[in-house]
Amino acid sequence: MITKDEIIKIAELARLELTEGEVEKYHKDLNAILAGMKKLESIDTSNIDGTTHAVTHFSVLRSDEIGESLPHEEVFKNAPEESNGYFRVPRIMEE
Amino acid sequence: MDKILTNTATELSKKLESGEITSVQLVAKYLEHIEEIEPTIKAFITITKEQALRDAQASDQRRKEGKPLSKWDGIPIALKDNLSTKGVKTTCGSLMLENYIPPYDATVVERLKNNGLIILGKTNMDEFAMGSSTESSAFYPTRNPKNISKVPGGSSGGSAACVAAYEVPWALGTDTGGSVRGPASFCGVIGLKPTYGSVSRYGVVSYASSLDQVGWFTRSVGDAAALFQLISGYDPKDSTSVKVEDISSLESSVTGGVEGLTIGVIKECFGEELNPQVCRSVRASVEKLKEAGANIVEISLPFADIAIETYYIISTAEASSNLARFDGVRYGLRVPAEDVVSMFTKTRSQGFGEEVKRRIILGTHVLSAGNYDKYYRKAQKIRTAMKKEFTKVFEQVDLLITPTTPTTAFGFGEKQDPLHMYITDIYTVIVNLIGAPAISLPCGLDKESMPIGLQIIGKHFDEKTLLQAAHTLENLLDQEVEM
Amino acid sequence: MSSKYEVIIGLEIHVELLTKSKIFCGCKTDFGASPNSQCCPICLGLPGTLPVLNAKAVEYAIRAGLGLNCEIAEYSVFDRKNYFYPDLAKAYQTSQSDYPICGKGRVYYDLDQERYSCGITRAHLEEEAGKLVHSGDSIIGSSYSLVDYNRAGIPLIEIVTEPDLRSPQQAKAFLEQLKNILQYLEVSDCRMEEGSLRCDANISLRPFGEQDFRPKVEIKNLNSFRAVERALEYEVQRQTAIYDQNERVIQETRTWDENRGVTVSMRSKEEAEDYRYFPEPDLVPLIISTEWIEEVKKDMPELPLAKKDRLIEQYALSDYDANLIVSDKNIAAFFEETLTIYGESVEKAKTVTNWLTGEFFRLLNSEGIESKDSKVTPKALGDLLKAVDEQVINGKIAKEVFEEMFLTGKDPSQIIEERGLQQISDPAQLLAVIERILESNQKNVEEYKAGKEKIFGFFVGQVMKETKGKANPALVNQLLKQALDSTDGRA
Repeated sequence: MITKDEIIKIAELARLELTEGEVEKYHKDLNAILAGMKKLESIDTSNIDGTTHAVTHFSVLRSDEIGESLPHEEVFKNAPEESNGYFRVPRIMEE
Repeated sequence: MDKILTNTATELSKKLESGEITSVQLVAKYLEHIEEIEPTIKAFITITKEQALRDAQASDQRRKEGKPLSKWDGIPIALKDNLSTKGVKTTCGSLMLENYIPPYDATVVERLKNNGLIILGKTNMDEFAMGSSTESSAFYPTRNPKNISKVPGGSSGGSAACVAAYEVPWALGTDTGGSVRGPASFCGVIGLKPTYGSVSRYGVVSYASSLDQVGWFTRSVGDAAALFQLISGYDPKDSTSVKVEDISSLESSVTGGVEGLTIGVIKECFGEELNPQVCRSVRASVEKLKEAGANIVEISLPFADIAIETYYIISTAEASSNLARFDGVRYGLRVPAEDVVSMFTKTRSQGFGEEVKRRIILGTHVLSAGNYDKYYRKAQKIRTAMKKEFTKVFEQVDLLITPTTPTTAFGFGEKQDPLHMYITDIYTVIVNLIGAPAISLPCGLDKESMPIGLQIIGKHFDEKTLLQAAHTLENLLDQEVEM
Repeated sequence: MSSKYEVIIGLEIHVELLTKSKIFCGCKTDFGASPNSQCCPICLGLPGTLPVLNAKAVEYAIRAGLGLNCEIAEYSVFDRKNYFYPDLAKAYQTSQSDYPICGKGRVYYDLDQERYSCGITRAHLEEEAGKLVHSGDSIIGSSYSLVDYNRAGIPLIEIVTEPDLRSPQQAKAFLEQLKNILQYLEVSDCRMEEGSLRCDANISLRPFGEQDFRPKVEIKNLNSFRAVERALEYEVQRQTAIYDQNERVIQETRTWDENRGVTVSMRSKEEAEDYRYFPEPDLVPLIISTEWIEEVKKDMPELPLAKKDRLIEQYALSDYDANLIVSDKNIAAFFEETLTIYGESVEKAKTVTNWLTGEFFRLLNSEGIESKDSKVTPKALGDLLKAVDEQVINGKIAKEVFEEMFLTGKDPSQIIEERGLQQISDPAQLLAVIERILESNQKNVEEYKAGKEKIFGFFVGQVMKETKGKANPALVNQLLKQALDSTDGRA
């Protein structure tokens, strides 16, 4: 159903790199899980809309009012790397 | 252990009110007990000892001045470590957030503080709430206080265990597919998951946004009702929270009986995967409700058979997106690398554990081009069909009953195959899919004296009837113990 | 350049909305604030935070949609667009996919006195990402980058057009019209230089008569309307040359190199990015009532093209003048307000047009300020023009007064008073000046009398010089003539 290469590709899309052992394991697990999901195919869902929320309500809005922003030290309290008021990241290579 | 530690919060509230005990004394007793028992149970990730004692002093001062914040002022509580606490580490049981300190309080935490509750600490959990045994915590597993060779259930295993081990009178957890009800069942305490939208999710670290709901562990149905009153209600910070009608009478209403109520027993939840001892115990409880005047009917809900698959599509899809923000830029773990893509990849690969990665990969797959319609959209449509089916069923019945879990607590390492682990939630996930409220309460013991849990499911926003029936059954079962 | 190929252009325009706070949180949206000073747990994507939709952003999107003649969706849904990038705090952008807030629409615009239109496919609401600053000159070769999340969460509308534009000039004219509409609506300031309006262009060519579309090229990094036009012109030439040699155009994304004046191929990805859109579970669907739409409609201003047509109809303005007046909503408002003070007639409209497109534009240019920042009020200009008509001052002095009005914001009457600029229309006072001049220029008087009538202008000039330009020119003419024509050269 799903190949090891596909597992690697999906992982990449999720920014995960897998060891060979992990590829092996997730390949087996996912195929087992996806096989179980096959039984959903037999359910007739034509003419049915999807549900995102079990409890439906609409149009929750807030008014355009300015609230408090965080002070500088709180913004960066958990930051792995800060530089002159910015979050710093290693170089971005255009993909 | 001091006997007072076995009290319910309601009993403690009366003792604080009468001056029989002070909050400082109470907190000190709990902390002493925690110190003694934690090395064995390991329910907590963080214990906020100093802050708790300071808060208890302030609480006593308020009571002395006759200005308690509420009748619960000074009563301790524990929080699952995915509830954001300002200035206190919130790890989600993950290396990714091992040192993360939120700059804000979750709305539920704010509401507890505004009512004077004392936070004793943050409890252990399956990493990012993904699991049914608390074994996927990046730090250590929590042991089941009823038998330390067994898991406490998950993902809110720490919160369930600390209530069962009398380390706190009550504790908050979260329930996405059974993460409160499951461990409540395994540890022999009460676990309530309210209707989706009735308790704010603001500050609750998301696993699957459309299924996540804060729930809690208590030692009595009355306490469960009390907490509902304390923290439920519309929150302008959560677009999915709902304005619930007046619930001020909830606590007193739980004393009503079950006479005249129609309770449906879901046939599909008594299948071959169900342990016979669990089956007998749940059936016996149903008999008791019948004797107490409830009208019991057998109900068939075919969708119950595909709930777990539907759940794993929706929950992992949402999780793959919710957990994408852990990229090493703004907070949490960063594994240094030459370029930003490598940094993202290394950080996420090292920061997440096995189960989290499994679900992220599954969730990414079911949303990816070419698979979306087959899995995600299909599951959403099935969810609609399930909702309709439940609406129809609830025209005939007031409540539904199932076992909470197919077995009692299992041993550590017993479930290596993820599919076996997922079966644990087979009766609970459907409740999250339809957004209904449900409660798990202990209804007996198996041969090994491990607790058995029974699940009652209610109509949307009808926590009142749910708690009323649960309270009746609680009394019936208590009488049995006393006999 | 006539060609055998038909040019097909479609645009994607991102416009920042002018709300006070961000789309999903209360942080400010001010441009130019110090980095990461307008951030909170929500727009930083801290774990556990949730979005709540800003009603004003919705209102502005409806307003913009109505201005572009779009259908406003009764039901719209937010989706997550998932991708990793350091400026994207949650690693997904909250956007709209299947159910955008604005559906099909149409925008009309004029180019070279012809009226055209371009279809709008859709317009949807979404959030801005943060901003990256690269060490060194550009992203390429920099050893690290810095992230500022102040911009993250500013509301945006993305407008997608149909492939209806048939030349780079049309694309530019359409964009100017779109910008003008959004500015009239006051939903965005549309400053390309600050990034509050951004545009990507899709272009393909096909032989006239061919039905199918050929591969299109997407052009990015277009930093001005001029750049849009130039880049498209370059692409027309490039693709023409390719087809002329019977080769194929590759469907790809190219970036505009402003300095070299060329588009450059960006390394094309093997596969399209998989954004894994799905409905945002942290937000609920948006339902827009007819009442709300009606309310917004009631508040809609007259839009530029309607205004242009009306001004031409009402005041017989030329197409050129009308374009100039309506191309800036502040000028258009200034124009109409001035007329209410000064008087509404074809002649007066012409006068006001000349003043605005002449003196006013000249001063705006030389002072380097925008029309909205000028200190002159319509009332002041109206009063000034009345003063000219009532011969309180003459036209030449009026320009001086206007310049001071422009620089100081003072009333014309105050300036005239302070500087004693009132026109001299007292015959006795002017006669005294004339007599003095004729006496001290006897030689010229004799020449005039001898028939050299051209010298009359010299005397007028002398009178103006003596009166510092304030003399009533008509009266000077009349009195001077009388004086010179009398026998002894005296009045």
